[in-house]
Amino acid sequence: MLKAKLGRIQLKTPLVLASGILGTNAQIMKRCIDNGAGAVTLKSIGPIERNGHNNPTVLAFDSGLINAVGLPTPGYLNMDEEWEEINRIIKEPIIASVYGSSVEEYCRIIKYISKFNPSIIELNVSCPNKKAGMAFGKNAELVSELIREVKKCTKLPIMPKLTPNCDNISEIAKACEKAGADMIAAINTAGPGMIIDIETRKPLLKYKTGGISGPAIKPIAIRCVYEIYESVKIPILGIGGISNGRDAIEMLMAGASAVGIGSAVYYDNIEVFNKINREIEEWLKNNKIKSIKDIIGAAR
Amino acid sequence: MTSLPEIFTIKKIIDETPSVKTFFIKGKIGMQPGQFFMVWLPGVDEKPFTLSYTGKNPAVTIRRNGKSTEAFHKLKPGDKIGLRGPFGKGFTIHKHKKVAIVAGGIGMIALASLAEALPGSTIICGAKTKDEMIFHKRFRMHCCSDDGSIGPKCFSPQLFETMLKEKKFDFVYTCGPEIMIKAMLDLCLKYKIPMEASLERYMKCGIGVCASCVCGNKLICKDGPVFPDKELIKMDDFGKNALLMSGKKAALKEFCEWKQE
Ligand SMILES: Cc1cc2nc3c(=O)[nH]c(=O)nc-3n(C[C@H](O)[C@H](O)[C@H](O)COP(=O)(O)OP(=O)(O)OC[C@H]3O[C@@H](n4cnc5c(N)ncnc54)[C@H](O)[C@@H]3O)c2cc1C
Ligand SMILES: Cc1cc2nc3c(=O)[nH]c(=O)nc-3n(C[C@H](O)[C@H](O)[C@H](O)COP(=O)(O)O)c2cc1C
Ligand code: FES
Repeated sequence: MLKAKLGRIQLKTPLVLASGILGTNAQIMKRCIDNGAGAVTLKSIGPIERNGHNNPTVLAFDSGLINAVGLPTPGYLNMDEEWEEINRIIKEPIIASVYGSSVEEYCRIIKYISKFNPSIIELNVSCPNKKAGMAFGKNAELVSELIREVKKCTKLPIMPKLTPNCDNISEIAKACEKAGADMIAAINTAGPGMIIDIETRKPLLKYKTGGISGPAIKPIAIRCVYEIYESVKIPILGIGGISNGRDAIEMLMAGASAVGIGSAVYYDNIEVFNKINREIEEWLKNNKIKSIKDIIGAAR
Repeated sequence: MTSLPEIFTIKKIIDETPSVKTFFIKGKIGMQPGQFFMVWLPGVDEKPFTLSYTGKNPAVTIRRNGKSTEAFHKLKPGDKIGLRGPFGKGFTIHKHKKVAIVAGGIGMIALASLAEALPGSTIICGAKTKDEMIFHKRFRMHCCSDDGSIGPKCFSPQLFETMLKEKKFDFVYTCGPEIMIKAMLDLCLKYKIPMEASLERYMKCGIGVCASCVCGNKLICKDGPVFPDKELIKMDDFGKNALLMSGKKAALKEFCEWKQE
């Protein structure tokens, strides 16, 4: 009943671990799969080893998380052993998220990691924590060129991950589809935002600003996915603020073929995947719906 | 479910050793022994520390170990710090058992609130030298040192094993450098004594989302930092590997010697 499909990729459940949450080693991602995730995304991989920003980097406020981890990465050349472990113990689809600051950098990384045969390559063109990265995601021409070049470097499906922080997400999505993207992930964090501590009169994050995720951004994510679904035919991985079964169903109805789970791990731990799966199943049963695919885009 | 830092004012600072200071803070803060807080030094950084004193007169005890702990050591009474927590799973309190608390170096900081919750426990603490020994005036403890300047010249697991010849323990708690914890685990398995240990990894969020603190398939900040023997033996990275700040997997030795620039 919970089976889903993202393009040609079969998923045992519609829930996908989103990038940057828990995706640092094979074993913790395996634990997500064992707890009900249908696929897992690695923490975004960059060109060279990078520490990211100093703490505080991740904080929970009333209605979500704010983060400025700053794209820490071991660097794509320092992960061979981890890839071997991933391929040894994880049997469900793996999504490799990649970021770079130039077309050439994206291509170099993607050529290299393609040999480990992940199911999907996600292009992070939308991270607000490092000024260079986001330019691609806000500009239809730049992102098209990136996708065209990347498609020449790999046979694997390409999934750009879009930012909500633009005023033309459906135009960007159309440009992605036209340039050859196989699917689209949306959304990355919104904002950026800021939290100021009034006792010390200082922004709390060391980087001062950070991306917003969790329940606070769900309506933005739903709107983005709805608009993208209206403008393209390729499948959508809907991400942003999903923390229970009803949220997931709402995201599917907006037009997502599968649903990303990130900040919800904070509220309900790794067991969150099983919890949401149970809630989806119950809702489908109560509404006499046999399969996930029957509700995709139902809100349109 | 927010987890923003709560701001506290430093009341009094005590030099414990040449490299360790205790910062008493105004206010009341509780936690289970073994839990920790992310402690924010505004404008500098935020790092994991336990409370060395809890309740009405709380304190953090901090060893100078790098850039931000150096900045902590420059604080004066009246300065403000933020505490986010308490986080993680603490020690299981066995009130009616004969327990041993075995520390290596600053591991004693994490065990101090436990020792207070379990009066009458046998405390064993090892340090490099007498000067480096912490809390030996606060608690009655069996000391040993690397240079023999206080107690016998040995590591704390060795002193513990010697003491086993005369004493029986039903439960053991330990904290210290991971090789020392590994030695304690091996001893406890050999003598069939159940145990719990508190581990360290690089922490960013402290709330179970970033997984910079992974050890095998466990999150030190959420599933731990305290783990029982049964889990330690199943953790592949225990005693072997840890992620650096970048997320790169490194041998434990490299992780311990690593400094933030
Ligand atoms: C759960 C837990 C409780 C702790 N409790 C105490 C305590 O009560 N008192 C005390 O003195 N120390 C404690 N520590 C260790 C303390 O957090 C580090 O010594 C401190 O973060 C070093 O920061 P630095 O900037 O001075 O050094 P850096 O130059 O940043 O690094 C020095 C070493 O400290 C470790 N370290 C650095 N940053 C972190 C981090 N964010 N998370 C974990 N380890 C890090 C690394 O292994 C590194 O090799 C605890 C650690 C953990 C994980
Ligand atoms: C701590 C943290 C780190 C993240 N790191 C990345 C990243 O490396 N790459 C990326 O594409 N998205 C990253 N994201 C964004 C998430 O993948 C996701 O798009 C966003 O959080 C919205 O989903 P959520 O509300 O379910 O968390 C990160 C989010 C958080 C909270
Ligand atoms: S420190 Fe982020 S998950 Fe443990």
